[in-house]
Amino acid sequence: MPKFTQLPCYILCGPEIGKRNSFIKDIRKRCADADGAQPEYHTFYADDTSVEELINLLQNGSLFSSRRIVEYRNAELVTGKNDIAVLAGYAASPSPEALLFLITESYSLAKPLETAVGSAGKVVFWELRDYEKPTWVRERLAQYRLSIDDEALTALFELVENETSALDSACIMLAAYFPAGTRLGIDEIESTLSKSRQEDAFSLFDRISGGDMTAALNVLDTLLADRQSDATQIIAALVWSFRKIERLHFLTGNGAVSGAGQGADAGPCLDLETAFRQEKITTKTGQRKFRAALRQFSADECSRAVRAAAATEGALRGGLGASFERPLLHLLICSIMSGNCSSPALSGWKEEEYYRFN
Amino acid sequence: MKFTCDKTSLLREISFAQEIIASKNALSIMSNVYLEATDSRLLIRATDVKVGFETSIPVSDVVPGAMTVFCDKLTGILSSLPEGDIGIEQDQGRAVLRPASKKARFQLKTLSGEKYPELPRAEEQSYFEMPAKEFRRMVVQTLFSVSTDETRYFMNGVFMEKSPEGSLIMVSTDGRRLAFIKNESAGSLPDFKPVIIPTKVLGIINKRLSDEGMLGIAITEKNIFFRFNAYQISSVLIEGQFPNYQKVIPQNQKTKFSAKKEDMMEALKRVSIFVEQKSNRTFFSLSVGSLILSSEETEIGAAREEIACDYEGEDTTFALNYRYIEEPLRVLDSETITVEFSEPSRAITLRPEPASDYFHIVMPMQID
Repeated sequence: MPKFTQLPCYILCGPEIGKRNSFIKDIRKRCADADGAQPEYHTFYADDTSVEELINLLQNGSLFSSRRIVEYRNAELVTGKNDIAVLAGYAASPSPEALLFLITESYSLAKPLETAVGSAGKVVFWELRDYEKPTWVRERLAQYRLSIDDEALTALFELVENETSALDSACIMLAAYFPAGTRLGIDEIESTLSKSRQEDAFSLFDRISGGDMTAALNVLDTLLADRQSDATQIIAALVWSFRKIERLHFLTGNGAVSGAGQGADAGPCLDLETAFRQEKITTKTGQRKFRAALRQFSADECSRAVRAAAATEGALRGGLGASFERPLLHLLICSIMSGNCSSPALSGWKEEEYYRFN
Repeated sequence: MKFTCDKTSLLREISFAQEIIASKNALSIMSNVYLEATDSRLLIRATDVKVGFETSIPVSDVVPGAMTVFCDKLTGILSSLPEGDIGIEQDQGRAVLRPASKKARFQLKTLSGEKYPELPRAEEQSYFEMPAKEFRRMVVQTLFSVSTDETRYFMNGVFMEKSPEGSLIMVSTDGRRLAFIKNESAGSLPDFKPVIIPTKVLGIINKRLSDEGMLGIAITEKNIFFRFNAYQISSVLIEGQFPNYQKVIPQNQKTKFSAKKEDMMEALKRVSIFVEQKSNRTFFSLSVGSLILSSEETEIGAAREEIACDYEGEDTTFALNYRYIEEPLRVLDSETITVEFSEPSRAITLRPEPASDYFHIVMPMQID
């Protein structure tokens, strides 16, 4: 084993995946340089790979490599007392040929793990602050000899997650689409990034407001199959979107916001462009989507959709639990899209009519 | 389409087909077995896209035709019937099964045979033969060491190559242990590019191939074909670069000990009661004439057993994953085994005694 001073165990915390990946990449490179060969690399998830399997791999020598590097993601899911003790035991007496990254997007792990790894081995990767983001993107684009308008930058932040690996991918994509020297405007950003956007809870809302129930249910199933989204996040995004339409209706004088009570003002009767600006819906794609949604749902329907979503969330958190996550969300979407409780899926559903729209 | 045949013969082949079929979805043609009656034979095909199976059995009262039926249910029906003949007839999109010995009638929905995937074929002249017993022995020595880690797909099969001297070599590894066998009695082999054979097809061959007779093998760019008895089995090969195994075969292991295989297996079985649930780490402590196998201390307890061995070196201890020792021990075909090593952190080699054409290499675990 070549001599190489490196901590044998790290806790890498925080939501900033890009910076974390750079950190890991740098250590991998230093290991490869020191060893004169690529280390054996493994990525495991705590919900898939048990602590025993992990330790087994870390402690067992490799035939083909002098060093093993293991990423153990979602390490916050290691909650059992025995598992924590075993992992902490390893961290206190690690294999000299192995390097372990305990990775979590939260900010800490179980105390015994943090103690065993020590403060020197804990690194937190914070999100970019709002004032840091424009500089970061501009510098990244400048590497490809691209520049960007302020308005286009706002659109980019609207379309891309606030996380450097996502922003980096967006910059790479823009560099692939546009020749060096291009100044990117809002049209370039929208035409490139809105098409490549992955399905998320907001694209589910787009399908709902587009009126295509099959597509909406397909997107829902995709989201549920993807570990990045859970039912609560999906509901939160739908509620956010329906509240946004409700506010747009209010601002344009077409309805009151929920909770305002009967006889509340119809709103300031702004024109739609001004209402979009007020609600910070600046991209043409965003505006087009919300126009469709405004046509599809009245303020009253939005208010009922929000109530139905809240009731669904209640059911999910209550006795029905995660076992009924998919059917309950399907029912919610069917209810929202079919309007006045006309969906046969709802007839006979007992949960105190929380889906009823009238 | 119509035919009559012996139920036992049909069940044997349909059960074989069911082993190949991976899908249990009754609506998918991939869950079906292909049946084609021609003259006096019934052609049976099954595939999971990667592995293909084809055989034929004699049948009578034939009306030629082809259909596919849900293999799982067909197996279930045939298994439930007593010995005797069974008549199968295709009628309006259904296969009607009538056992001769019972007043019973079963209907199974069919899908058109035309939609069934074509199986790959090898040219007749590309087949070569070797004794079935020898091939099977090679599979037995290597199959268990294959990696199950799908991210290391190139280790998910057994590597097979022809050595420069013309022997057939098989190697498998999961990165922690390695199994090697070099067969010099395979006969005259044609030249072929080294291949990585998936475990599924080797598992099937290992189960179904008898030690009698010869096995026909053909290798093409993407597939490997096996032919024995009335069976033709094909499999896609794993594409990728198998690790350079020669580099990790220890050359100068000067220290060794020998022990009775049975003693070691029994001791390992008892000691493993305490290592099973943790990291599988088992300690092997050697002193002159003695090997102590022990587990880690746990809250529950610990195990320790001493067996006699032929060792004359210095006291030494190494740690091994007990599974990596137990699995080779099961297939080592000698009463006594030899373990060769150089130092506790380097690979050890297990061989039968006297040495044969195969060995197993295991990397040790961290001691503390």
